[in-house]
Amino acid sequence: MPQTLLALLALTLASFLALNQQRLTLRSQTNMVTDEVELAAAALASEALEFVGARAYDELTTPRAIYEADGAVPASPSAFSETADFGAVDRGDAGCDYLAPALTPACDDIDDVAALGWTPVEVDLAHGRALAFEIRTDVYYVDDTESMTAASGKTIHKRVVLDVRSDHVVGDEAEGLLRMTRVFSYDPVKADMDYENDPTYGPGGTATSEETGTTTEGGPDA
Amino acid sequence: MQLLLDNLTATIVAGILILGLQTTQIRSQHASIEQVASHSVKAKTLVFGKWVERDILDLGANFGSNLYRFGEPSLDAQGNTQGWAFYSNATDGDGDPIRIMKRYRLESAGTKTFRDTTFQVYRLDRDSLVVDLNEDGTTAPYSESDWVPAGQSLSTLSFFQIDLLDRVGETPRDADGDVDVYKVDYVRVRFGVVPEYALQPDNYLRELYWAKTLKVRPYWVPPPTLSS
Repeated sequence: MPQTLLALLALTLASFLALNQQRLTLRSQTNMVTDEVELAAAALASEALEFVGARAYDELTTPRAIYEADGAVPASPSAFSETADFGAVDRGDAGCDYLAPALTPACDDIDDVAALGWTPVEVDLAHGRALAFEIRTDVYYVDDTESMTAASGKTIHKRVVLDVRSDHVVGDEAEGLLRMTRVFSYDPVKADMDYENDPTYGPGGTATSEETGTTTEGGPDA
Repeated sequence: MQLLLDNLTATIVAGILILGLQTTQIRSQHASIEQVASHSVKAKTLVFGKWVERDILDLGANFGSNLYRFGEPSLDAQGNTQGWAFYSNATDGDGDPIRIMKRYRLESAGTKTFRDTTFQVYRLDRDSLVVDLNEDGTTAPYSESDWVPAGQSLSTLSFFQIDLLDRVGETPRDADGDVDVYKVDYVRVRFGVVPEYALQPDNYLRELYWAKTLKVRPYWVPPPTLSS
């Protein structure tokens, strides 16, 4: 009888040990998957944010708006969109493509991505596999490039806040897996360059007959 | 034998315990090795990403306006970037102008199998070449043998792609279908890395993904209509 009891005790202890080990292994596996997903999410967020900033600063500084204003580039923020007009007002029904803005041409300025809910985005891996994420963004005016609080009026700085979440990570459904934020400032030279290089509305574009400027040679031998 | 039969219960229990503990030990070992391998591949991925980023940020340094500072990447059948060259200017020890050329070459590094997937893996070799600049801004003659190795990546890249993009995320092309390097606004680098060690029964970590999109414009100020 004592031998049986001792055997049972040994089995119970071994079961606890195995269970704990199993739990640790599971946690380690979860951490590694989260790590893998987080790294991809950071890369995706950085890329998406870059293309948000590539858009015009405001609806009035898009190549089309400058073309319609006979090439006049806005110089002060007074003409820019009101915060209430951010988002769905002029971004079109197709929404915004974060990685290929050309696919959603109506989403052409930074504040068009304001209040954009969770939008599916994929990153491509080897062998045709893909890792699925969702991105949401918000935009607001700030007084300076370091400010995290919304400005009371229109300024030349817009803060973009971008969240990423993944189905592969549990617990990030509401707030997202990671948040990245950056301030994009209005640059009249960029607005002018974007307008002049635009294939449709630029001086050499299909919407006009004027000739654009020239470039000179560069590269390895020039 | 008689002893084992006399203590049958204890023998069975001892057998189960030894088996259980051994399984636990193996799983624990596997998890530890996996963690080390995972940390290693993540660190190497980030370091590799960092030096590619540095190279791209440095391209075109000291160049004049309106000069393109990189060529069109060549692709392999899988869509990987097989080769890419980019340039910057500097001065040598005597203060004379020089052109620094760098290039990436993607080399095959065998295959790696993880459970059901066999990956073709690659290594990225980086070469550099310093050439004197003539007074008219052209480079002195150079040959293929002048290129010298200047670093390489880890040998477990599962893919490597460099995309030259405009501000709407498309590759600008000229009438001949070639990349119009003058109109490139962004350089996007994407790569995947698989673990260096294939574990049994399997690796948890399958493939790390990293991407960086960097703005290489503006490289003309003021806008084109105001310059000539």
